[in-house]
Amino acid sequence: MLTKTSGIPLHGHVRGMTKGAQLELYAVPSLKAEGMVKSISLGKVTVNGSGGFDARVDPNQYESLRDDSRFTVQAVSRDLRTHALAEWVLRRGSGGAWSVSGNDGTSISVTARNVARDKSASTESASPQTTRNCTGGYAWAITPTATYTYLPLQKASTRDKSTAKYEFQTSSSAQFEALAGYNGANFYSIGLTGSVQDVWQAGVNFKFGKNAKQAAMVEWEYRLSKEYCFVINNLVVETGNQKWVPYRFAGGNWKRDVGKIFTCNPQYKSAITSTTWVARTSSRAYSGYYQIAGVRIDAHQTNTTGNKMSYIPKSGKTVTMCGSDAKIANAAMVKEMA
Amino acid sequence: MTSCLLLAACTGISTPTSSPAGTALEPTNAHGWATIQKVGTRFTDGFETLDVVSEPVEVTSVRFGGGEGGLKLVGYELVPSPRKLASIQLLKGFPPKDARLPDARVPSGGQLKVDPTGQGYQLLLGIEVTAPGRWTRNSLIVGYTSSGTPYEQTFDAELTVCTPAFVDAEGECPFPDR
Repeated sequence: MLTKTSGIPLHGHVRGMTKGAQLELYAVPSLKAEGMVKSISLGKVTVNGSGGFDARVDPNQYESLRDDSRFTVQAVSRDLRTHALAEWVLRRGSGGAWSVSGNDGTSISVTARNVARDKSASTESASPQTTRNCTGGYAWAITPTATYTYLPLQKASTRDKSTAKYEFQTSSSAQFEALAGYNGANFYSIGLTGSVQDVWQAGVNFKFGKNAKQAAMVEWEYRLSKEYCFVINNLVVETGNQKWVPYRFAGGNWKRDVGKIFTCNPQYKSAITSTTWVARTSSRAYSGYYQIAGVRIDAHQTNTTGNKMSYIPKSGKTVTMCGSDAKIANAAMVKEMA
Repeated sequence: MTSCLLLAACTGISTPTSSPAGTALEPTNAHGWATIQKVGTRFTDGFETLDVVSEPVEVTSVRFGGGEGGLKLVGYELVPSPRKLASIQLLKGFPPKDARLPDARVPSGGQLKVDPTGQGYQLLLGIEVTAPGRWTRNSLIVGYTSSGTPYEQTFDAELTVCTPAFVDAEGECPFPDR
């Protein structure tokens, strides 16, 4: 149930829907593996004249969310002419407070697509009649349909006075893009989400030698996730809403040679003399892109104590390092200077 | 310029423990470094910088956030911009004398402001190794006042120091496993 004054505030914006159009909001508990997860209907929101909509949700009202540290709230168009699906990711911090992230920072933004004109869309799934009668509610399920891609995590750039290593031990802090689409057509990014399965036991250590300009790449499995509708007599049909979600580390890894590295801003130079753990988030400019379902998307990944990029100066040498967009402790990427 | 070598403040005694968490200084992401030092050595950790996002700020104390064991914080100084380097990780002794460091220091009670150059203030931490072992400072806690209100802000600025007998088989001082 949406609340008026209490709970977590959510903000969104939809293009391509007129004032007064309605979106339905659902809370979807974390998917842990294959299987169906029932969506919790929260109610409807009405799009205002500028395409904006606001809502509040209180996770404590739902038993299935109360013990979850992460769930999504989805805004879905059900008018069968336009397709719109976007989601916020809500995470509970160690102190119990919830944080909200969407594809526009804390808010979400989505462009409604005209389903009828989308010729590439399959019509094998839900018919308007069946989705209209979803009296038993909705659910999402991860299907066995998989695709594999190499995700760029971090780049290293060394010269002759240092080496580097990147310890990728867990995906719990890694955020990868998820895509949404209708009946397999025109998938689009709906923002960052955590991987369904963690990889704590299957980390990878990348070592970069002298004079290396390389990106650490890991193979990730994506799974197709589908929304289902429960109609009368326990009949279950697909609604046509689909997502590609990051599922698990698939074990492959390699280092890709990269070309141009950023130009150093002198304000971001530091001198180091011993092993230093640096760099926080790889961004689109410094780690690159990957493709899922033909959609080009950028990789983001955050370093924590489990995921470390370290530079190791040669013994006895002082090495000048430079951060790409900040000082080296906060930079997206760090490189050794001449 | 007057040096702001504040021995008493390093203990954290001057800042009430009830200070609210501050945000006037830009948070940093978790980071760290490791070094090998003999017992009795006094050195300067010059890796950290403070960036003011809501001015003015007066730094009143700096202390370690636990785990440091045989590491003693003996003092700190703040170096304003401009500097040749935003930070210099390791300097001999404390207070350090190094040609790469400018002479200017923030005087005791001096106010820190937003630095348009982006370099911020270099924090020079005087550290003495007091016992053999592998010691890890987990974080730094900076106390400051902003508009008269005392605050504390914690930075995930890890430092591991190994005394020579406590390096690993490769002769390295490893980061702790977490």
